[in-house]
Amino acid sequence: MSLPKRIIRETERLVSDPVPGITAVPHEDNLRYFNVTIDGPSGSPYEGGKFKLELFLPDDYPMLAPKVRFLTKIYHPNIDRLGRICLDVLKANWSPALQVRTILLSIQALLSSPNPDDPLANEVAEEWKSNEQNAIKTAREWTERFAQ
Amino acid sequence: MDAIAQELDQLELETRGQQEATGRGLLTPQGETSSAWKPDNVPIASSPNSSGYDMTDSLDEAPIDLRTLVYVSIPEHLNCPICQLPFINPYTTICGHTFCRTCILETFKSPLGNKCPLDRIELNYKEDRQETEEKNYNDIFPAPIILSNITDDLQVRCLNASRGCKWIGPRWSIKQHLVNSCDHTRFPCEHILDQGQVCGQLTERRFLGEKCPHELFDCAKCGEKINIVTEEHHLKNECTKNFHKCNGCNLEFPEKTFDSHESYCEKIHVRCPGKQYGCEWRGSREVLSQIHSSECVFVKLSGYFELQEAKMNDLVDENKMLKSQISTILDSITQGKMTNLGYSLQLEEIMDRDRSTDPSRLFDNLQEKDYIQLMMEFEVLKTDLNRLRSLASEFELNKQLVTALANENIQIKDELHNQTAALSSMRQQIQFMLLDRRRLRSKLIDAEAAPQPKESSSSGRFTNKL
Repeated sequence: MSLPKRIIRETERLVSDPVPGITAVPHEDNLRYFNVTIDGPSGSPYEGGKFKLELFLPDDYPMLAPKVRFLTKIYHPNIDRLGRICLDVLKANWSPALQVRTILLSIQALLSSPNPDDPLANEVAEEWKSNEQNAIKTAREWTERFAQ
Repeated sequence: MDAIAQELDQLELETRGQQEATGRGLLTPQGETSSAWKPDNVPIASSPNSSGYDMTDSLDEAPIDLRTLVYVSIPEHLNCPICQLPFINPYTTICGHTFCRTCILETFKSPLGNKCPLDRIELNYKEDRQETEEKNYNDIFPAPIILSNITDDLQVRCLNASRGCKWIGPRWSIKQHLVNSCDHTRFPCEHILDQGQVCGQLTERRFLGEKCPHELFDCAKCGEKINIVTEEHHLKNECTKNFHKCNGCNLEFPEKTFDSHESYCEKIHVRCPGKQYGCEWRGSREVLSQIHSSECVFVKLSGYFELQEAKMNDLVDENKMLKSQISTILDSITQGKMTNLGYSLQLEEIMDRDRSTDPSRLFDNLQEKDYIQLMMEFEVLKTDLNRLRSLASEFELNKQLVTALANENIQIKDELHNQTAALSSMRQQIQFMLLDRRRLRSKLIDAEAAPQPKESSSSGRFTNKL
C-alpha cells in the first residue's frame, strides 16, 4: 500500500523543521518506522542524556496512535524495563488530530515531570514516592551509564 | 520479587527474540491488518513506471483522488487537522471545528468514537441519515459554502506532472483538464492489430491518431526498432547515434551523454559568477578559471555582497516580525483591550522584553523610568496637597469663628460703654439729687432749728445710708 500523503507531509516537516532536542528519521526501507532520539530536558535528572526510541505508524494511522518505545534504559516511574511508555495520548486519549511531532513533545514533557501516581514501573514509582532524592539520584546515574 | 524479575527478564528475552525474527519488535502491528485508513476515492491504478492519470472506465466513472494532488502553495488554515491537506468536502462540528467529511466520519469509527478530535467534545451523529433527521441530531453539518469555494480555488499541479504536463489551475477544474484536455492522460489504444485483436495498451492522448502508435519502425539514427511512444525516450536516453554538437569544443556527443559533457566541457561559454552583481563578462570556462576569476572585481566582492544580502534578509525578516507585532498591538488598541494587548504576556513583560533585546533603546528606557518616578512623586504630592487642603478648610472655619467672636466682643464692649455711660449719668443725677437734698436740708435746718430736733436725726440717718 502506498504511503498516505499525511505521513509524507509529517516526515517532511520533521526533517525540515525539527523540534528542538528531538530528531526523528524514517527508516530507509520502511517509511512508517522512525529512529527517534530525545535529549533529556534540562532541569530534569535526564539532562545531558540522549535517549533512543523507536516509533512505528500502524496501517490505520492516524486513526490509531503511533507505537512508541524507549530503546535506551531509563529510570522513570512511567516507563518500564521494556521501554513501554504509560502516556494517555498514546492510548485512550489518542486523537487523529495529534501528530508524531506532538507525541514526541509529550514524551519529552513526561521526562520533565514524572508521575509516580500513575505508575508503569511499580518499584521505581515506590522509590519515587518514598525517597524522591534517592530516586532522582538513581535516574541521574542511569542517564550517565546508559544514555550517553 | 526475584520471581517477578526473572519473569520480566524472560519477557524481555522473548521480545528481543521476536524483534530479531520480525525485524521490528514490539512495534510490528500484530493482528491489526484490518481495513487500512483509506479515503473515499480510490485512485485508478496507474502504470508502475510513470505515475499519472489514466482513463480506463467510461467518462462518467472517472474518480480522481483529490488527496494525491500537489498544491502550488498550501495556506495552513485551510488544512484538515486529520489528513493535513486542504479541506475536501468540509464539515463543521457544533464546537466550531472543521474537518473533511471522510476524515471526521472515519474518526467516528476509530477508538476515539463520536468525539471531536480537537477538543474531545461528544458529538451526536448517526450514519443513517433518516435517523439523524428524526432525532434532530445535527452536531456535524456542512461547513459554510465559502470554505469549499476557497479550497476548490486553490492552485494545483496536473496529476500527470511526472509525465511532463506543466498545467497549473484551480482544484475544481482538475477533472475537466484531465478528462478533456491533458495530453498526458492515458487511454487504452483502440487500434486493431493484424491478428484482429485490439491493441489495448495505455497510451497518452498526444500519441493517439490515425495510425496505431505502437507500430514499430526503425530509428533514423541507429536503426533500432522503436515506436512513436518510445521515440522521445529513445532519442534522449538510449540512442547512441543521436549526436549533438557542443558549442564550446565543437565535438559531437550522443544526446544521452550531452548533459554530463556540458557540465565539464572546458571550452563551453559561460557567464561570470559575479553576473548577478553586474559583471558583463562571458567566455569559456577555461579562461574564467585561469584569468577572469582572479581579475574580476565582482567575483572578489561577491563574499562581501553575500554577507550584505544575508544581513539584509535578516533585517527584512525582523522588520516583518515587528510589523506584525505592531499590527497586533494596534488591533488590540482599537478593540479596547488595553490591559493585555492580545499577547499572552502582560504589557509590562512585553515592554521588559523589548528593553532587554534592544540596547539602542536604553535612552528611551531611562526617560521612561524617570517618567515613572516623576509620576510617583507627583502622586505623593497630590495626596499631600489634599491633606493640606482639608487642614486649610479647618483653619478657615476657625477663622470665621474667631471673627464672629470678635464681632460679638465689640458688640458687648459697646453695650458695656452704654451701660457705664448710663451708670455715670445716673450717678451724676444722684449726686445732683444729693446736692439738692443737702441744700434742702440745710434750708430746713435753718427754718426749724429748735422746734423739730427728731426729724433731723431721722434725715441724718438717711444721709448716712446713701
